[in-house]
Amino acid sequence: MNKVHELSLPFKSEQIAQLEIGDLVYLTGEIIVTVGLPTHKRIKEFIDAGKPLPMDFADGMLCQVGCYVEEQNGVKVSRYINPSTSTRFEPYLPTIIRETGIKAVGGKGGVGPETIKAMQENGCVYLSFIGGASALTSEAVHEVLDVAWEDFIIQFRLTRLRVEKLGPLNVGVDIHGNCLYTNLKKQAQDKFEDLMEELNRSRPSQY
Amino acid sequence: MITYDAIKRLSGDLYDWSLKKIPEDTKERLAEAHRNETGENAKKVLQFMIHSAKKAEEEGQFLCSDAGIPVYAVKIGSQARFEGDLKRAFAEGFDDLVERIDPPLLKFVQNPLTNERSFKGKDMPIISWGVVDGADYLDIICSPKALGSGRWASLEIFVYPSLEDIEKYILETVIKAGSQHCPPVMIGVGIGGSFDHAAKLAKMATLRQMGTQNPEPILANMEKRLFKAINKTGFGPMGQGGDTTALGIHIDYSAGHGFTPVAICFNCWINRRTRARIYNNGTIERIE
Repeated sequence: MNKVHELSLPFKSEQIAQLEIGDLVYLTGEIIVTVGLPTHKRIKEFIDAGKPLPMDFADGMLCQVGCYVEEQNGVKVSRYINPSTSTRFEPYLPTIIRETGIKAVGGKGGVGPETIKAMQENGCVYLSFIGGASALTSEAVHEVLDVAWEDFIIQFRLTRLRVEKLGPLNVGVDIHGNCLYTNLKKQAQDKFEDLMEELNRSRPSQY
Repeated sequence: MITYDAIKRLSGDLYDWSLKKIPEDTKERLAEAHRNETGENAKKVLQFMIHSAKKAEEEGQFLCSDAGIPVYAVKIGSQARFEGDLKRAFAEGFDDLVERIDPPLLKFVQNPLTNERSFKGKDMPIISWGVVDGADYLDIICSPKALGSGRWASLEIFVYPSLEDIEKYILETVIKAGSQHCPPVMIGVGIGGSFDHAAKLAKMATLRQMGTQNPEPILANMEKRLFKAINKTGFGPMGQGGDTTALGIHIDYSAGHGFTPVAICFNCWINRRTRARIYNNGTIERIE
């Protein structure tokens, strides 16, 4: 039986430690979102150069989530959000996890082996959004708190959002390095021979 | 006479509609999957998907924040009569949509050489052209495409493959994609012809209405058996584990030479697809 957790940000280590793969999570607090590869690259460059980042990442969550922010009567508002594929940020995520103190990465589809290793070493988890479900997911966004690096296109900027009961997010990687996606892939690979055998057996002989 | 303005407006509208409503056949498959799913989280995920899609449709919101790039399949009736430039009508239809759509679009048209993004680019919108003999209409399908499911498409050239070789390659490609393409997915397969034609067959196969019978018995049988096998891989909706990895698999083929390309592509669960016909008398028939 998978557990359901309601967590608030900034995270406490013990909250993160109790999460197991397959658990569902609802989040309340501040998160940072961007879907920019150049943004992740710049974060890493800032870290490597020892330059301060424009937002505080410590004990927070960085999400590979696209967000349309527009200004209405001088106030920045989010029109919609939705996750992107996290594995494409593999070259940058390990450094970001090791150096910023984030406790969770959010996106969809899981992360690569180096990121999982960095998560295990730093008490960080991966939380998976439901792709394509923007209409419901966006309801959780209550405020756009800050937008940085506005030289990028909208969805590439670093955007800090205040969310309430964002989710359900699924724990894809826990702090022990257990990964739901690796397990499922292995399960499918293990079944491959049997599935082929079944396909061969069920193929009509005249074909 | 089909006017330039009517094509321009309709091409933009088809894109707009595709972003806010999933096709009826896809809704039915999702509901069926939700009824039959035994995975605890998988059932919850399917329910969330169904509710989110309903909300998007009712409130005119986007299903996904990633609108992809505009992709069309157009069939021109040999008796259709139109005024003005056809290709330009689609290009300007997209420009016009960018200005008028609500909520607004993010920029997704990317130059692969410079990685610059905008709303315009070489060969945009991507249109595949066909002809329908005797018809007095333009048949337009809009099926926008984005990275999430687009990157897992695959093509390999075989030489005299057996049906087992083909099925093995399809299953391997499905397992390689895992759960990164926002399953449950719609899978399209094209077998034979030439390199480019097989890819087109695969794409067009994803656009076939679910539940329709494949006219080729060998492929009808292959679809049935592969559908079962793929859903036994266990990836489940969004990789939560479960019985629903694919919503459907459609396979088409073409005669060819001894070399046999096999192309496989995926649509994520929202399976964006709209279709309409515009007739010589100006009537617009919305099909999907």
